Amino acid sequence: MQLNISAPVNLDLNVPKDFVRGCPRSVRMDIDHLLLAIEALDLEAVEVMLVLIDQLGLQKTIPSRVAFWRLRNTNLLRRNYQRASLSWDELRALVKIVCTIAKQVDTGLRLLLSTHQQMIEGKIEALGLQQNQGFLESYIDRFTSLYIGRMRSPSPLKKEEIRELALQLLTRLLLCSGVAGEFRLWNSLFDGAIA
Amino acid sequence: MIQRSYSLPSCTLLIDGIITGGDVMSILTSFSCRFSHHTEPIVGGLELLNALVKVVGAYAQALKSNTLVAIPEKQVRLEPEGQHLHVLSVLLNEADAYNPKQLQIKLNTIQLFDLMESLDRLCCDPTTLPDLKLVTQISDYRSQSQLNSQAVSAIAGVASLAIAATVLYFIPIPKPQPKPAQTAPVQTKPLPNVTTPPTPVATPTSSPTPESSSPSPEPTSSPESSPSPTPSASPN
Repeated sequence: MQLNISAPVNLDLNVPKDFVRGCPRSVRMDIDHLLLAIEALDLEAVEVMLVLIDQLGLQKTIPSRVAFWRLRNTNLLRRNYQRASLSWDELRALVKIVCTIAKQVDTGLRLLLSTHQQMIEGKIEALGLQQNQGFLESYIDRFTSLYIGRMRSPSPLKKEEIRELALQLLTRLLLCSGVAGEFRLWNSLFDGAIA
Repeated sequence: MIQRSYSLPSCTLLIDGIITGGDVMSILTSFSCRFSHHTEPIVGGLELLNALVKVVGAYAQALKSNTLVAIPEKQVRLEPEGQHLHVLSVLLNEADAYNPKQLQIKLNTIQLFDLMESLDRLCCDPTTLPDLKLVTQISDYRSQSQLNSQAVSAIAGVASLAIAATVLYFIPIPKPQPKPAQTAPVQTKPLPNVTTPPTPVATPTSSPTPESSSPSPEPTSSPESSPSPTPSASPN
């Protein structure tokens, strides 16, 4: 079998061939969920994102706070979903923002994920890390309330499923925080998406 | 002869090689990958490194998009164990047929990320082994594993249907039983309308059949009930 290796020396975020009809729904949902998880990690994150838009030179794609809000509302589960879609440049901009922040909060992500691991193994009490468990629980609570507040009602997911999503997004964010994070995130968005 | 290292909190990758031109190390002599929670390092040559890059890259990519992949590589295997652990099995010293060694390391998500990240940094480093490329496309592997799982469910469906059919084949087909309760109203209904004598003849012919098939108390009652209307109908 031939090695299935791409040639990403410059790591371009190319649009896959099959997706000529625009950005798939699942991609729009995924990227918005990742942004929501970042917001749950730090409630000030939206301000950081707006500053990053300037720093990364993305003003052309996202000129204002309202434009950014509109982009996030292309998630069809949102309460304010306007049947709009994302252009490829807008998606690239959002991927860049997610990965840049993921790199910055790498330490926090590691802490939360290892705490989750310790919870599964039942080591929290023995190690005396109840405080870390508190951090994780408060992240999940914030994510849940943001999710319920922003998504359409009745909520598309049950409480337990939102919790599961919050934990899963932590892993995804960690995997985007590497050197090739943008490239990996970009490709993972299109895995299993329907054109 | 130089060494380059890519170190992350739980995993350190050391690359030994020879610089051929400028600052670029393009010939690998050996590499070692050591985890902080496991004493024994993974040591090998270019072939093992290539396999590791391929398997870990595709696995991490699949983990992110929540799909399972089966990567056809015999030297390195990476499989999920439970929900949050990943077992990395590496076959060391493959060239030395007398002394093959299977190394098994359990990784949690963070350790897996560190392994992926150290390999990614190596792949993205233009001054070290520039021929090594990042693996992010998993569509080939995924389609294989999905095809397998789809085939399994389809075969299971057909097999269960076949088993159910054979089991049900041995169950005797229930014979249609003439219900005596129904015969009684059928007899009584035509009787008031028809005043001719043939109707009393018809009632005795139909009443023997329930008696022969099942001598239940009901047939005895039906002859009792059926004669009673007939005498009353015939005088009128």
